[in-house]
Amino acid sequence: MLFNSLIFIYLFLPISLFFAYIVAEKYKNFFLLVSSWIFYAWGGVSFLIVLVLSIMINYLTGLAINRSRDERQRRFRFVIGICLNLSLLFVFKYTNFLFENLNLFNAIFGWKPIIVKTIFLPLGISFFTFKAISYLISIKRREQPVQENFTELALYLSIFPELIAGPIDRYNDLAGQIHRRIFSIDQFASGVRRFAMGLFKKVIISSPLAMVADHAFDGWLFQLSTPMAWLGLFCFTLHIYYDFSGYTDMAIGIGRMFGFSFTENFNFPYVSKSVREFWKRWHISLSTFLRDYLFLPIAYATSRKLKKESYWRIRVDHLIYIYATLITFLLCGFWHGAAWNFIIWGLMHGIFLSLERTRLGKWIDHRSKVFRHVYFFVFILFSWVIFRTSTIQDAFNYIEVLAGNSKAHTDWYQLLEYWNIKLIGTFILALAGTTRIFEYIYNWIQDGIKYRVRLIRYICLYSIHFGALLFILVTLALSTLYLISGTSDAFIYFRF
Amino acid sequence: MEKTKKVSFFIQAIFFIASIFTPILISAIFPQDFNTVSRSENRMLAKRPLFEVSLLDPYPKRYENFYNDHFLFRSQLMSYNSFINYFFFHQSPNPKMVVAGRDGWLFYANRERMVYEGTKTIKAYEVQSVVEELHRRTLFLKRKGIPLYVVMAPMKSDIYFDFLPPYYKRAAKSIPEMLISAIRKDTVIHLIDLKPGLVEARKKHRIYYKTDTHWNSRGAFQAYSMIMDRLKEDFPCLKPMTPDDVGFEEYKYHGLDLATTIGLEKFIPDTVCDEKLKKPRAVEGRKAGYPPSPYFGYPDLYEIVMEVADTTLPRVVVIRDSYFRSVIPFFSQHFSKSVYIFDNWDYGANYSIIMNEKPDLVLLEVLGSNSANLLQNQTK
Repeated sequence: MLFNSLIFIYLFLPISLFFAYIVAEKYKNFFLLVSSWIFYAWGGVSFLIVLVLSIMINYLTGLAINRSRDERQRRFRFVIGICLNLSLLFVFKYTNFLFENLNLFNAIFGWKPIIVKTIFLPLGISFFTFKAISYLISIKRREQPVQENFTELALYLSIFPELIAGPIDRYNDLAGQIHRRIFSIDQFASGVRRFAMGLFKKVIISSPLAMVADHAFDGWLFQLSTPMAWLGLFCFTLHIYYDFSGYTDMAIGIGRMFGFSFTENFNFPYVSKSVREFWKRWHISLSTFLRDYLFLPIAYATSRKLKKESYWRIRVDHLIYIYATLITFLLCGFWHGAAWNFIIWGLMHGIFLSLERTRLGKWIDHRSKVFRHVYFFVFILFSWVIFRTSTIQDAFNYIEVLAGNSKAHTDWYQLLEYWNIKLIGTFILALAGTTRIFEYIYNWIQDGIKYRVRLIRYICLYSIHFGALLFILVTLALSTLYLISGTSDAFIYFRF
Repeated sequence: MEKTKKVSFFIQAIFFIASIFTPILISAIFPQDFNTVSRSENRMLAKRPLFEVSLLDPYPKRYENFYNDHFLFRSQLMSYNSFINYFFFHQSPNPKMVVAGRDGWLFYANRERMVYEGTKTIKAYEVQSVVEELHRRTLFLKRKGIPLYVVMAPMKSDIYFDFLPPYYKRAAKSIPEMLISAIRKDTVIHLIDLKPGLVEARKKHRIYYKTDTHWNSRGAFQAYSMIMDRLKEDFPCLKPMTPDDVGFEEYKYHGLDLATTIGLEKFIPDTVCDEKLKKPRAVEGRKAGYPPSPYFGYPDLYEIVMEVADTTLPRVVVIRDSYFRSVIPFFSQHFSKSVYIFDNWDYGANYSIIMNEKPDLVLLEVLGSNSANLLQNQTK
């Protein structure tokens, strides 16, 4: 089920909210779990089996780790649990990719292709598998007591606001909230505002931009003009941010309505001045997960093996950083999708992160702010080309068109199909929203509340509160109009 | 201040809850009629799916389709959305189906745009295959003593191309142009290409509707005249009507099929043009009851029969699409019996109908953007 669907907003959400507030305290988790499973089954009832299987594996593994005789057995059971989780992910996400590539290899040697039935990807498997891993790590490290209540663990792994596309909340952060949470009108209202913000980002901003991006990327490249290719790329750059951050806002907002406090996932990523800074601002729950559970263990393990001060005149800490970064981002790309373009995309980020650690990075750090923004923006634009196209060949062809090598390169008329007042307005709003400008305006009005003149104080106070109410109602009304007319699409991160 | 904040948060929560609960409550109090047709979308709305344990996987999707199709005030809300898009943003609310051209002209997008821009095309061997098919049909009917005439109707975008949006790009050679030039090389097939005559005629009058896919009565009369000019070479008994035999009445009406598709028929009026024949002779005849294709959305239009009480006149069978509809009132005046078959845009040979009707001539009218359909109905 999509958050930006009529059935979610006007049927699923009211019914599940009704039960969340009406049932007795001890049944709240059970009802939320049932709601979450219905939400998940909406995308394919059979996929629910995979989710339940994952929950059972982790429930039993958690108990097994806890009952280990000694540290060795504890570690062994933990490793088995991690392998089982990764196997589940591998089977459902990477089997098709593996056999496609094996068959390419077979074709070279003239061997018979291996025919395997297409395996469909269960929604959100990458997200709930990572949450499961965080649970096992938490138990293994004794950061949290083992979860003996099946419903509570099942709810952690399948709580519907973050089931399909995150944020990837660690077990340490949610365990307490699942056990007991506080409902308040302040929190509910802040959830409503956040949900409306997410809906606005997704339906009003992201969907019109997606139409242009889809035209540029999914159309026939030989007919694509250079200006249209650039417009499509700019639109995709904004679209992917508003799509994903809109989803996260809705997830956080719904979570608050149900008494949860989920982790933040975005912090104005496009104001970054380096790739390093970007990963501190983009998909924060994934980047910190990879940092803590992949990068740091690889770095520690490598540092124990390397004894010298430097190798090939490169300091050992730099070498470790580069090695761990490349592996982490290679896997980060692979996590995003079972395709070569995602692997290249991940590697590209890894390489630039590594380069930023060298003298080149220091050189960039000493340049002006404008230069560093331009450097980052050019990088991110080209990395999105690789991310958005379906094959490496398509990515190169698209870059060729961007560079002016297009049969229709002089055709500015292509832009006119989309470059209208609606897109211009959306584009400007979207650009402004990637900066902190609205935050500054809000703070400025907020400061007005403390102003000495009573009239100004009241104007500021009521404009904030009525502004919020108006925003909620207008967003809901406009989104309903858009959704009824079928002009909003699925979330990009659903397929991961 | 703190109290104001509390009250404000309370109001925000209450308004939100009221908004999301409204559709459930209203639907519970006033149940809807679920067996309805969406006129603007030209389809039946989804029916409530039956819950079966053996069909669990597709159930959610089907239920969601049903829910979306019957959402409270759906058609009114769709119309508001269209209104905002069209009048405030000057954009078609459904650009995949309808595009807004210059000066209020609407054009069917979808397949017609693909054919016009050349993103839908056919290969040389497919062109040859269509020509061979028409050649085969012509020879088959010729052996029975029945001449076959192939009439190519142009798309609106071919005639009023100057009103298309500026981003439209004309294909170097579209499917109908490829077919017409290939058919011309075949000496057996009788081709009547309506495009040149209609391009000329638009200089005098408006011959297509602004808000409809089709030509108006003036355009239909022009098409009729061109067809009759060709037929009378082989059938001298046919005496086509002149413009003096027909009057045209124009009046303001609501928008037509393209305006309906975007839900704005009430807001975008058009000028409708009706014909008034000075001496009409043809009357509706009895249908033979040929069975239409089960997938055809307009079974009532599958067979139309017109008759003139003069047995000396020839008989005709016309395999047609929607464009010929407005030609029927003119064309039928010259035949003792004219049978019009609208075969779901298949443009099939329909030999059984032809053999049954024993006509003196057969007409196959094909819209340019549909001409590739001839590939799918080959007679061997």
